[in-house]
Amino acid sequence: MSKRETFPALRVGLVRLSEASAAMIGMAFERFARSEFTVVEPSQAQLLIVDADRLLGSDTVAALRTDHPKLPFVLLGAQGSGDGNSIVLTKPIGVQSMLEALRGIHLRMIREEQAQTKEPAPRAAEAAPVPRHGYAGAARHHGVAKAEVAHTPARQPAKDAHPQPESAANAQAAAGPIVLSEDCCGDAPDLAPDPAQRSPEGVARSFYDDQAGLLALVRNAVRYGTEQRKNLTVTGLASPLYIQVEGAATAVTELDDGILRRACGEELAQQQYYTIAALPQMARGWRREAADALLWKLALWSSKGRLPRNTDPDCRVRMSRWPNFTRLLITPHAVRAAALWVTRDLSPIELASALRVPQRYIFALYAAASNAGLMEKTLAAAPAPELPPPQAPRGLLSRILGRLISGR
Amino acid sequence: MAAKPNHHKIVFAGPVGVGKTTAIASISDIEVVRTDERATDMTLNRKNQTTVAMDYGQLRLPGGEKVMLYGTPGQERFDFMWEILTEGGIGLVLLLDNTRQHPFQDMRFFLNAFKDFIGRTRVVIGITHSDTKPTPTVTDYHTALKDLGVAVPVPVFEVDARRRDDVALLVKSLLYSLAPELDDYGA
Repeated sequence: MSKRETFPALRVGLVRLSEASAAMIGMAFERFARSEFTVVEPSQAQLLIVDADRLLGSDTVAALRTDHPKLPFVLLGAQGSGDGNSIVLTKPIGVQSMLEALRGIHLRMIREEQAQTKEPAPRAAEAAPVPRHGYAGAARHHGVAKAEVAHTPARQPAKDAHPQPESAANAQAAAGPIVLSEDCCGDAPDLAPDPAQRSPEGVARSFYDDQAGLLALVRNAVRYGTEQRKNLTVTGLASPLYIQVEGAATAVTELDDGILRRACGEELAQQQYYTIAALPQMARGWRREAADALLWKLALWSSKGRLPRNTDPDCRVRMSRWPNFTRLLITPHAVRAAALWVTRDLSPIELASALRVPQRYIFALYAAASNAGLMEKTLAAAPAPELPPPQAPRGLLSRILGRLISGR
Repeated sequence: MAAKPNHHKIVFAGPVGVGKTTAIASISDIEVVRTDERATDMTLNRKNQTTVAMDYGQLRLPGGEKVMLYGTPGQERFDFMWEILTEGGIGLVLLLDNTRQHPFQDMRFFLNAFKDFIGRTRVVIGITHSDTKPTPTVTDYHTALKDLGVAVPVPVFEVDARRRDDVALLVKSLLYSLAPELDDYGA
């Protein structure tokens, strides 16, 4: 039994949540945190989750505060910062990031309670494990939390092999490593739909140089190695990154994703690649992954929700084929964006508008797919096409989707 | 009298030994009902026990609705069942085994066999055992699909049929292919 299970489940009240959102949260608790959180009536709750978008304004939040002066709040979809007794989660809300936020609050409450009774508190790492180089899913406390979750390639073993997760650690293991979408999609505001309305500063913030830095270095190395059929080593990082080109190109390194992600935002000293006869023997802690998957990640981390320099955000493009999503880092909305982009010619801005999602998610997908050679310009200058009508009952498809996303 | 809950189905197809039973089990809410029998023909070359009738799993939805997950028998001599199984289906999950001698022939065969069903709905393709045999690659499959004249973009993913996330993503991509405007709750 984990130490966490010695504490009673935190009683969570849901305020002004839609039926679907409430059901999703209930399912998330049941699936990932059964022993940690339970949904109760707001009057019996120790913490309230409030959909700020469904409130009538700050007066209503204030009214709730008056009614529940001592309860911590998790505000969904609010603008601005939380305060000492609340946190803010921006939408879309990722299940794991929400759970991490709740765990953080729960841990604080346990500590406060134990401080009063002089009992030792569990270490934070036990209650809310954080990946080693982490961009862990924990939302930021007492401030603006940008905690949308992006998916990583599936690494969950067969259901039979692993029973339902019970502890926080097991829950995280079952869900796979967690990354913040902020790392891949940034937090830039949307560009105005009308190009004439865009400020030069806003436009400048929407682009990055995809011909420089680690992304360009590794991309060029993979291309050169594949063409020359030679293995390579990439230098300029804390440790070498090897490219092996026998069969499909793979990358071998002891560097973890946290280091590579940070390197995407830095200028590399003495960056270069050169051919080697053979890769050294893989040591403990080294890992191997498909070069395509690595480049996809590097493009997302370099992009941070921006478009490659010289991209016209209003130019219609099409995705030439579906990315191999099961082996790629998936950012929020990427799958349904791809579903539309493989069938319709849409500019990045049109696609974001059609799906009603922030542009940064679409820009990030464009950056990764473009780097993988999957984006094709189209010549059409026709009006923006309408969404295709669903070919099956939409409600049914939505329910199945919700069931698959929630996991239970 | 209470209204009878609606039941719907997603069909899993593919050659013998590709992992249909395992894939269904990875997302099913119930123990998969299997009608395995010991094979007596050439399928014995690929597995000791194989599906000669069908597999059946379930996804349970709120309100008592169920989505039935049917795995078709892998052998051609049971193809008379395929048409029956696809009636009223939401879409097709086609699994292809990369270690088979001619996976493109398998793909062509199944796309042709389920042509009418795919025409009414959508298909997604999962490539299994690519960790054992990396080629043909996903890109090769897309090229083969183009060569076959398949006009609608088909999601083609490498999958491990034992991994729920892989199989769930295949099904999600099927749903988005049918209706990209579905809300994904940020996923």
